[in-house]
Amino acid sequence: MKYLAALFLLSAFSLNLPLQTGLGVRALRDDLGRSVKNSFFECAVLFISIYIQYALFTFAFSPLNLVFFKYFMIFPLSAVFPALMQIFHSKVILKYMPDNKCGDYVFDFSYKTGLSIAAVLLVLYIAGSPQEALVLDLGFCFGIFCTALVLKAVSLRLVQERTSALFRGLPLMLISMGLLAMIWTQVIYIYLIQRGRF
Amino acid sequence: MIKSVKEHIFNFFSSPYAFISALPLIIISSSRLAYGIIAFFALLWVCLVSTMIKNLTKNFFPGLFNNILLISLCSAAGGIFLLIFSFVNPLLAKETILISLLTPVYCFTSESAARAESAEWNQALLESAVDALLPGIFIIILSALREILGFGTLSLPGGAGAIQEIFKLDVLPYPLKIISTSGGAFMLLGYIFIIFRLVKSYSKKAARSGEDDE
Repeated sequence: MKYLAALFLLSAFSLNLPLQTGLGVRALRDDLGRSVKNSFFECAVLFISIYIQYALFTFAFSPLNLVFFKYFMIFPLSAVFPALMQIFHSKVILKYMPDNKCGDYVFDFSYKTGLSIAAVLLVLYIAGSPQEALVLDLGFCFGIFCTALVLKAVSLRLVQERTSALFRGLPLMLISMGLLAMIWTQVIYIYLIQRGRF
Repeated sequence: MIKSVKEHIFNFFSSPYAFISALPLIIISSSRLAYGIIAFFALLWVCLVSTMIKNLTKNFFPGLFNNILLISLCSAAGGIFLLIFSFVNPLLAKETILISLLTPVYCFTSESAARAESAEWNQALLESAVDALLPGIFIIILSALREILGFGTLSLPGGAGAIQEIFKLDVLPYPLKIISTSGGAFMLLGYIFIIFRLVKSYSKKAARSGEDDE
C-alpha cells in the first residue's frame, strides 16, 4: 500500500509531465480561460485512454511478440479514443440531453500535445502489474489537472501584479514553472526511500 | 534570407514565442548535444517523409478520417526512423525513444504534412524542411549551451556508451548544474525570451533615434 502511495506521488509530482517535459504547456496556456470542469473531463478522458492502451500493449501486443509495433501504434491509438469521445459527446450527449450543463467540450488535448504518448510509455516502463498501472495513470492525470490549476493561478497573478514589461507574460510563467519543477522533483526521495535506494 | 524562412512562424528572430509549440521537444532533447542532434535528424526525417508521402498521395488520400490517417502517416515515419536508428546505435535509440515518438506529434501539430495537399511538391518539401530546420537548429544550440553549463562537457552520438564526450571541464560551479534539469531548461528559456525582448526594445530605440537624426 505504501509503495502504491509512493508511486502515486512519483507520477503526480516528480514525473509531472507538463512541468518535467513541457508537454501540454501550450494547450494549458492557450486554454487558461477554460473551466475547471472542462480540464477535469479532459483529464478523465486521458485517464481512460492511457489505461486502455496499457492493457492493449501489455495483454495483446506482448504475447504476440509485436512489442516494436507499439512505437508505430501509440500516437494513432492516442488519437482514436478522444476522437470517439468527441463523436459520442456531439452525437449522443448534445443531441439527446440538450439541457445538460456539459457545454461544448473539445477532447483533443491529450493527443495533440503528446501527453498521452509520454504517459503510456512511462506506465509501460514503470508498472509491474495492472494495479500499479492504475495508480500511475491516476497520478499522471492528477498531476496534469493540478498543473492546469496552478498555471491558471500563476497567470492570474501575472495579470494582477505589476511586473516589469520585460518579464511579463510567458517569460515569467516559464521561470515560475522551472521553480515549481525543481521543487516537485524532490518528491522523488519519498519513492526512493520506499524502494530502499536512499 | 528566403521568403519562406523570413515569414515563418518558427523563425526565432520574428517570434520566439511560437517556439512554445515545440517546447516539449526542446526541453526533452536539449539536455545533451547528442540528443539534440538526434532530435534534429528525427525532425528532418519525419517532416520530409510525411510531407512527401502526403503530397504524392494527395489524389488518393480519403477525406474521411483525414486526421487519423495523417497521424498514422507521421507516426509511421517516426517509427521507421526509430527502426533505422536502432540498427545504427541501439543504445542511443533506446535512450531517445520519447524524442523519436514526439517528432510525429510536432509534425502533425505544425501542419507541415497537412499543408502539402495544397502545394507543389518542391514548395511543400521546402516549407516542410523549414518547419523542421528552425526548431532543430535552435535545439542544437540550446543543447550545446545546456550541456556545457550543466554537465561541463559536450557529447556526440557514437562510441561504446551510446554517446561520446569530446571534452570535460573539471571546474564547474555547482549551482550551474540545475541547467541540466528540466526546471533549469524552463528558466533558461524564460531568460532567453527576456534577453530577446531587451534586444528588440534596444533595436527599436536605435531605429527611432536614427529616424530622428535624419
